[in-house]
Amino acid sequence: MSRTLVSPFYQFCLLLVLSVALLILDNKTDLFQPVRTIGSIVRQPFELGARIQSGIPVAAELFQDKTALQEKSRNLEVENMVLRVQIQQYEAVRQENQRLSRLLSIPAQNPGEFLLANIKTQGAPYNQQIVIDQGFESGVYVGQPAVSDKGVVGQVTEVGFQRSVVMLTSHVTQGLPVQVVRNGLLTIGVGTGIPGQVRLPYLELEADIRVGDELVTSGVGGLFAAGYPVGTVTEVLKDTTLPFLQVSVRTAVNMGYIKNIILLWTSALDQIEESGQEEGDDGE
Amino acid sequence: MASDSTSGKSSEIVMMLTILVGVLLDMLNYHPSIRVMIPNWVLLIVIYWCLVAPGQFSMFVAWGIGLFLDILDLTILGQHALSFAFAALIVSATSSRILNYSLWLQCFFVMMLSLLVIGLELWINRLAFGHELSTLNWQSGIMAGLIWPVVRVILAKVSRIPDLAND
Repeated sequence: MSRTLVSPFYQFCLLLVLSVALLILDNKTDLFQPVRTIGSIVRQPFELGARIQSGIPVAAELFQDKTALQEKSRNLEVENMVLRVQIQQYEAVRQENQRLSRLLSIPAQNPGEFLLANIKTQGAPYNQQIVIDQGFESGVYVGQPAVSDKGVVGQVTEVGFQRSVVMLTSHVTQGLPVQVVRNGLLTIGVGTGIPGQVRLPYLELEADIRVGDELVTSGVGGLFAAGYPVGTVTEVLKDTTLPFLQVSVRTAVNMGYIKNIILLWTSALDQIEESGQEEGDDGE
Repeated sequence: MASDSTSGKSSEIVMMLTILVGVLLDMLNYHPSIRVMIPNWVLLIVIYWCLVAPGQFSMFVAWGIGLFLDILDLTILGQHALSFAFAALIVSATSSRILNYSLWLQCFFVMMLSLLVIGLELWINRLAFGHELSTLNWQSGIMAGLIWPVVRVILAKVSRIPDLAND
């Protein structure tokens, strides 16, 4: 039956060794980073299907009723107006906050620069990665935080020319310093591998946390500025045989419903360094 | 075997085209609620070609296609490659018997093989990340078995090979 000289079993053994070598090299080293960059280019033609698919609703909009469009535009205008008014307040609060933090000599955190990026494709299920249409051409860097209008999305892990990969907070390799809004409790959120789920594995059994608690980024670690919504506690399990509580969190962002994300250039890190220098100067 | 009726060169092109269509289907943006149920299209196509042309469609080709998917799908290099080679090994070793199976048995075989491949990929993922990942994505494996008759008929039309297993 076999037309080849070597039996299929030995062929498979050869491939097995090759695969395991690849797996180990890819997992433990950065050797294949260029392959990833090429991969993001190779992806482009295959995203054609997804692009046509996302074009269908746009085409449908062309045939939409004119009055419906006018209605939509009016609603957006109203929403815009409301947001403008809110932003005025925000500006005042921000300035006051800066004044106060200067008084307390705490580094103030500016929102910094940002960039809108469209989501190209979402990876395979349980992959917890998305591909966006901005790359090092626009200054995206590895480790850059990404948010949406609802809250934290994740961080950039691979950067191509006009394409980057964002690993979601629910990915198993991701950890994020978080804070409970209700009482200021600090801890770390860790991905579970399940879409939209994060857990808090390092809370003691006596920790004050309940179902429904809102979590935001704490700003510890300097990657994310403080205050971006992360999620809501959905389950708190207290097992006295275990050293820690088992807390599940539903992420604020549901990846199924967002089309674009915002990449942040937080100036928080620089400012911490600057204030550190100032303190040093004061000491002298 | 039926594959003798097609000339080598053109059937290889057809094979590659069908694989590319499979990749295209894989890249579509499915709604998250049905995403878990979407079968691995490329795997189904690889299984088909291993069945009807075990000589032409070798394990090495399956491995290469898997590697290509790894690069596209952002998975660890070697994850799909190894599992596809494994699927090809099983299918090509048993192809003559499976071709004589009834349609329902074939569906069952494809379902079991898909589940095995998904399990293998999950296991590799767990080894790589050292974490408890989510549960087995079994819905996708079941769907692979259910959709097999459709895939088979379409691929038989495309490849102009008489449909296999006339019950």
